[in-house]
Amino acid sequence: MRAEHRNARPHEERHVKGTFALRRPVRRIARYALLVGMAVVVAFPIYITVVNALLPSAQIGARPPTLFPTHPQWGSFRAAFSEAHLGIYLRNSAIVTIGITAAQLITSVLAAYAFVFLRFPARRVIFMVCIATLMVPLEATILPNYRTIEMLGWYNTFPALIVPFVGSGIGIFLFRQAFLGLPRDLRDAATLDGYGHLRFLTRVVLPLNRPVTAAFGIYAFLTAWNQYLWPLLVTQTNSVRTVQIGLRQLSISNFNQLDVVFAGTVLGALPIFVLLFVFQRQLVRGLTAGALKG
Amino acid sequence: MGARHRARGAHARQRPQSRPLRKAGAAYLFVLPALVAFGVFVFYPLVKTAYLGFFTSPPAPNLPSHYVGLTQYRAVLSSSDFLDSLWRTVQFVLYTVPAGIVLGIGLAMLANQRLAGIRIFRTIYSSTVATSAAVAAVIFFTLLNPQVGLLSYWLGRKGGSGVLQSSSLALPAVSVVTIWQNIGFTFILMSAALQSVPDDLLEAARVDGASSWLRFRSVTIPLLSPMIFFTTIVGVIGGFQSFGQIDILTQGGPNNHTLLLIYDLYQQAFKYDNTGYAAVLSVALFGILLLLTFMQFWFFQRRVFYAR
Amino acid sequence: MTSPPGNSTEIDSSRADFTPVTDKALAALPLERGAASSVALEGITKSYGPVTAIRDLTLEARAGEFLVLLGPSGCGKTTALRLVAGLEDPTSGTVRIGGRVVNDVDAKDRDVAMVFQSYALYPHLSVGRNIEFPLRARQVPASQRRQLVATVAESLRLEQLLDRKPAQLSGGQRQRVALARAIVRRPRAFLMDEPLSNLDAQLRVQMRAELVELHTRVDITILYVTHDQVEAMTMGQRIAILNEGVLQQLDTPEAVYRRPANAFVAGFVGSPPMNILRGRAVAEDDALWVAVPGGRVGLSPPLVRAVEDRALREVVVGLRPEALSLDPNGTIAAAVSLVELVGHEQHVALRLPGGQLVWIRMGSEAPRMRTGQDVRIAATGTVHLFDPQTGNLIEVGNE
Repeated sequence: MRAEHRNARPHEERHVKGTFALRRPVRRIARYALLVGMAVVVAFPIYITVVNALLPSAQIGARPPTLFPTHPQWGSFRAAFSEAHLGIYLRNSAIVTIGITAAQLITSVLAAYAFVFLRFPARRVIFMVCIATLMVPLEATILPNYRTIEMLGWYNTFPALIVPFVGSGIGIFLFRQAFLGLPRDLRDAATLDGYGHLRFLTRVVLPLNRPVTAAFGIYAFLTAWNQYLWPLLVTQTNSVRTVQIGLRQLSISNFNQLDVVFAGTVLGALPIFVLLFVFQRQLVRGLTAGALKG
Repeated sequence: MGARHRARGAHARQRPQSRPLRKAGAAYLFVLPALVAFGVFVFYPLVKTAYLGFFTSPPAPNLPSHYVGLTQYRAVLSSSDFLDSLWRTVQFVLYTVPAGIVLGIGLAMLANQRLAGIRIFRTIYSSTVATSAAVAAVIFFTLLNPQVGLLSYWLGRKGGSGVLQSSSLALPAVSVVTIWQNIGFTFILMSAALQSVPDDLLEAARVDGASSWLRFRSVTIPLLSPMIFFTTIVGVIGGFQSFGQIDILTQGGPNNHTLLLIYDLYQQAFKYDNTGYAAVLSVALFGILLLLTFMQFWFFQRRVFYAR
Repeated sequence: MTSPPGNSTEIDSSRADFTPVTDKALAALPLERGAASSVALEGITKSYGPVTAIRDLTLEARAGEFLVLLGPSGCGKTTALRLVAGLEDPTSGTVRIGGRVVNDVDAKDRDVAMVFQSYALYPHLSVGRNIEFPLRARQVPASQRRQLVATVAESLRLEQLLDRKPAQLSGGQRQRVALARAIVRRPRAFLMDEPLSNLDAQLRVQMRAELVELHTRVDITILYVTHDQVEAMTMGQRIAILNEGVLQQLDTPEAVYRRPANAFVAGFVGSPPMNILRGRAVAEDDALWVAVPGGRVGLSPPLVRAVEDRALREVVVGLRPEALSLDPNGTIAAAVSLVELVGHEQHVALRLPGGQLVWIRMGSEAPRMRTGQDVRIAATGTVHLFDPQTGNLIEVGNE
């Protein structure tokens, strides 16, 4: 390719050679060196976590450190999964996260649909109220919310982890924005074709809004999965603790079994790694949109 | 005929009310789930928190609270404890946000080159987006452990007092962990912004003879500036809400040197049962975040406007 | 109306060669005789807050009729259509379909189909799925759905396109899919809201013919909204003309053209529009004339009588462009302002001394005139006499 170029334009050859030809390989190597260097810095904590999970506990603290497991031990994962309860934590997180994500999708889609396709008194005011929730951080409400949960008898139960988060202002905002882009004639046509609101919503509106649904779904999932403060407050036993709180327990109580701590950390982070690998494209949209509420 | 006509007219007049009413009913049904959730878990507790701030907590449980009005707000907000934790939070934000953004832009520029295998680097750079604060904290908690931690070993602090136990190094250490945890997120946002910079602009600048630094400074950065602003606000808000890494790494120690506002609030409310004090902190946190959210919302709306 | 015996999959061979436009399979359309219903609005008023879109509107499309609602934008014609469909509720008045009051019937149960200006095709569904969509809502069994879709698709020449998405279709094809989706339901009435206005001119003429063809071959009631008076005149069996929410006239195209109920209708229907001239009634040369800027217009005996009976001083007369002609001895002086050659004829705009423009229609073989040229014109055709206060037609007199 390059050779052809030179043959075709002998005049430019000298110029190209003089300024770039010599420096290009050098530059290229420098760029790769920088890329690799930064990759090592970013990936090292994750890498060493995986390596340590595969080392015998005693070898983790040994110096000089082992940076590659020549005899990987997979038993630590089994121990983390069962004895350190990661299996239960993961199950709990799955229940809570899927519950929250599903609930937020449903309530947001329904409300956004009403704001776009239905006419009713106080519509604007109610929408503003929904958007106003974006301005209220969880941290400003934990005191009374904790009491509410206690009063409802929900302390240390899944409802305590899910129900406070079934509404999402950002979800309503995003879906409303997306639905506004649909032609109103579609609603009228579907009405005459015999479709009520719910069936129009599921057969037409949602299929036409898959990207925003996926993006918000990912955002909601990630946010719910990463919750820390609230699950810490309202859980007491392993039967309902989520992964994040489980990891905290792990690091406190299993410090004499470092391989298990590292294996548990890997297990705790793995679902999201897999999820993000599968949904890379939706992730970017989800993060930019969702970053509205940090 | 006349009677029939009149009857029909009356009929017609009462009917139109029923259908719109039914429609409005459906609409309220649609918004109800979200509204109930917001009412019970957002608005009620917000008001209640502000109200709790009017009462001082009793010295022992089961004793009555005292209504003191705004006195407690005034006392707490001017107390050195509050101002200290606020200042630490600001420090934490100053450590984490600018560094995170510079790193994010740097990595995004690096990974925006047309080189073989660049996808692998993109994946690596964005990988930490999958780590929660807890995951990051647990990893570094072990790595920074003075006895067995690899980082302690490399930093030459093996055996001695750990980084997290040092009053001067604990907050920077927590900040580094936070920067690392957020780097994937910042990288993804900056990459997305960078990829939307039109190539022909950079090429035009190149033809005009602009050096790569000048191209970066006068073309790339201005075009990235909306995303930089966005990431800054999100980062600051995230900084004020950072909790998990503190809880796992230092619990606010040593000697309150990593006691951020939010952690102070948590301890006052749930460790010391100092409800009134915690309520005031909640309101303060709410006020600060409200201001930041307003800035962000204003920006976001404008951006939506221009994008459409 | 000649409707084929519907509901049969056999092809009516006597008509098979009749037209390439809407083809043979029309005979097999699932439209039974008698499916068409009358559609009536009775004393309908529709207000949005302080704005009244429709005021006391009463009109009826008879079963099987092609009725056009014509008017300028914002006249309430689309609102009227949406009221029939049940997409809007009247502030007062009664909507009837097939004689039954449907004010309290939901849109989906009114059994009317609508073709939208935007076609409103579901972008994520294939053509076949789009046509099938209303059948699914009504829980028609799958085998029957397939057959209906196939029949309708064939009749509208869509069978090759069933797997395409709407985005992959041309404007005319989309239009036909929208039509197919409406037909497949066997509705009591078709409501069409400017269905041709998004097509280019050539396609519009073709679709106009196809729609008329469709209507003459199958028994359907069509309520058709348009602002294009050519569409209205060429397609409608009757035309309802609306202005500012008020019905101006409801009659056949011929009647609307020959006896426009008022000056608004006269000016709206016909191209170029009727020339409306305001003047004084004067008695000169033993006759009654209307003095207009630039000269005078003669009145025929019935018009003279009408003016005298009412003792009118002010008079408004309307003259179609073909009712005026160039004449060196003409009674009105004017100057040529603009000449439009429209194929077989020319439209000439003349400026009267007061500044008003009048249009005359001439054959294309007539010598071309220069702009600015002074001419004289004579009223050689029908003169319409309107009430100067209300604008209502008083009398039509032939020369």
